[in-house]
Amino acid sequence: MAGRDRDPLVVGRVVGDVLDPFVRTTNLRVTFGNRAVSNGCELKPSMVAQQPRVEVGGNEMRTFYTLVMVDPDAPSPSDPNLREYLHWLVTDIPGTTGASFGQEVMCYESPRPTMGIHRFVLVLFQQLGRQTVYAPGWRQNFNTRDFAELYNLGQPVAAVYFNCQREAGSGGRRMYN
Amino acid sequence: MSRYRGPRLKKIRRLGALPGLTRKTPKSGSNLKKKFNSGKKEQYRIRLQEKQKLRFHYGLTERQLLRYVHIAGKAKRSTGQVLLQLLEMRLDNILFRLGMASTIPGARQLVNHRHILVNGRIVNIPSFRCKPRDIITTKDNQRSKGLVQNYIASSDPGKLPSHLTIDTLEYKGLVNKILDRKWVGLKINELLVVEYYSRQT
Repeated sequence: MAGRDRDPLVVGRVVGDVLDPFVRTTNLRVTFGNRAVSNGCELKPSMVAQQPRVEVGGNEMRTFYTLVMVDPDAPSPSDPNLREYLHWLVTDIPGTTGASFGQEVMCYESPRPTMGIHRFVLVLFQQLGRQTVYAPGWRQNFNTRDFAELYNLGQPVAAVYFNCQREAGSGGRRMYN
Repeated sequence: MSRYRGPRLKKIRRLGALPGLTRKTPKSGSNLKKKFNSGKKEQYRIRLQEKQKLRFHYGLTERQLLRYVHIAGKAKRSTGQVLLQLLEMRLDNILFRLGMASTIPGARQLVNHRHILVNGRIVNIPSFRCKPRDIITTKDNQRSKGLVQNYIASSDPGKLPSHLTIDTLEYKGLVNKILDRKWVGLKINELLVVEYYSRQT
C-alpha cells in the first residue's frame, strides 16, 4: 500500500480523475524536442507546441497500441467542466515502434492552458488486434474510461503526465517569471 | 515583514469568517455583505477573494504568499495542497492551532517577543517552518507561561488537528506529521488561489 501512495500518478490524482488503478506492463517514452517527459514535470506551452516523439515498448510488432492524450483540468482546475479535453488520439501503433507509425484518429492540438496548472495525461492501451476507431465528434468531455470500454481496450498498460501552465502572465508585477 | 494592522471586522464582512484573523463575527443584520456579494461574480473577483482570504487568515504580505506559491509550484504534488501545507506549518499558525494563542496575530506577538522555544531554542520568526517531531514550548518563566495558560485552558481539545499533540500541563506542543488537507483550519478552495497566480488578464 505504501508503494501505491508514492506512485506519482496517484499523488498527481491522475489515477482517480482519469484512470482506474492499473499495473504498468509496457514502456512508454515521450519526448518534446530534447526534453523527456517524467511524471509531474513542468513543461511550458512553447515546449509542447509540436507533437511529441512517442516510443512504445512491447515485445513484437504484431501487438498494437492506442495512445490517448487528455487534459482533465480544462478549462480550469477549480471548475473542470470540459473534463477531459482530448488533445491527441493515435491507434494501431505497432509494438517496439512509435506514434508516427500509428493511425492518427485525432490530430495533435497543442496545450494552451489559460488558467491554473493543467495536467496533460498520455495513456497507452494495448489493443486486441487491428481495429477501426471512430473519431469522437468533439474534443471536450471525452472520457478515457468510457473510450477504453467501448473499444475493449481494458486497463492501460502505461501512462505518463506532465504539468503545464501559461507562460509569463500579464496583469500586475511578478517576482518570478 | 509588515503586516495588516487595519480594521478586522471590515475584512471578515467582505471575505467571510477568518478564524486566524479575529474571533469576532459580523452582525447577521449587516446588508454590506449582500451589497458586495449580490449579482454575478466575475471570474477574476472569485479568485482574488479566495486569495485574500488566505492572505488575511495567515497574516501574510502579498510578496510572502507569492513566494509560497512559487515554492509549492516546484513540488511534484498538487500545488494547492502543498501551498496549504507550507502555510499550516508556519510557527505562528501552529501556536494558534495548538490553542496557545487566540488568533494568528496573537501568536505572532508571542513569537516576536521571544516567549516561544522550538526544540529548546528561542525562535522569534513567525514564519519559521516547523517540521515533524518539532517540540514547541514556552520559555521557562512565569510571564511566558502566564500568557499562554489562559488560552490553553479555554481551548477545546476536540478541535486539535491530528498532526498536532499538546501537553496542557507542561505547555508543550508536538508536531507529529505534515497535516492532511481535511484538517486545514480555513474553508477555502486552494485551486482558485493557484489559478489567481497563473491568471490571464
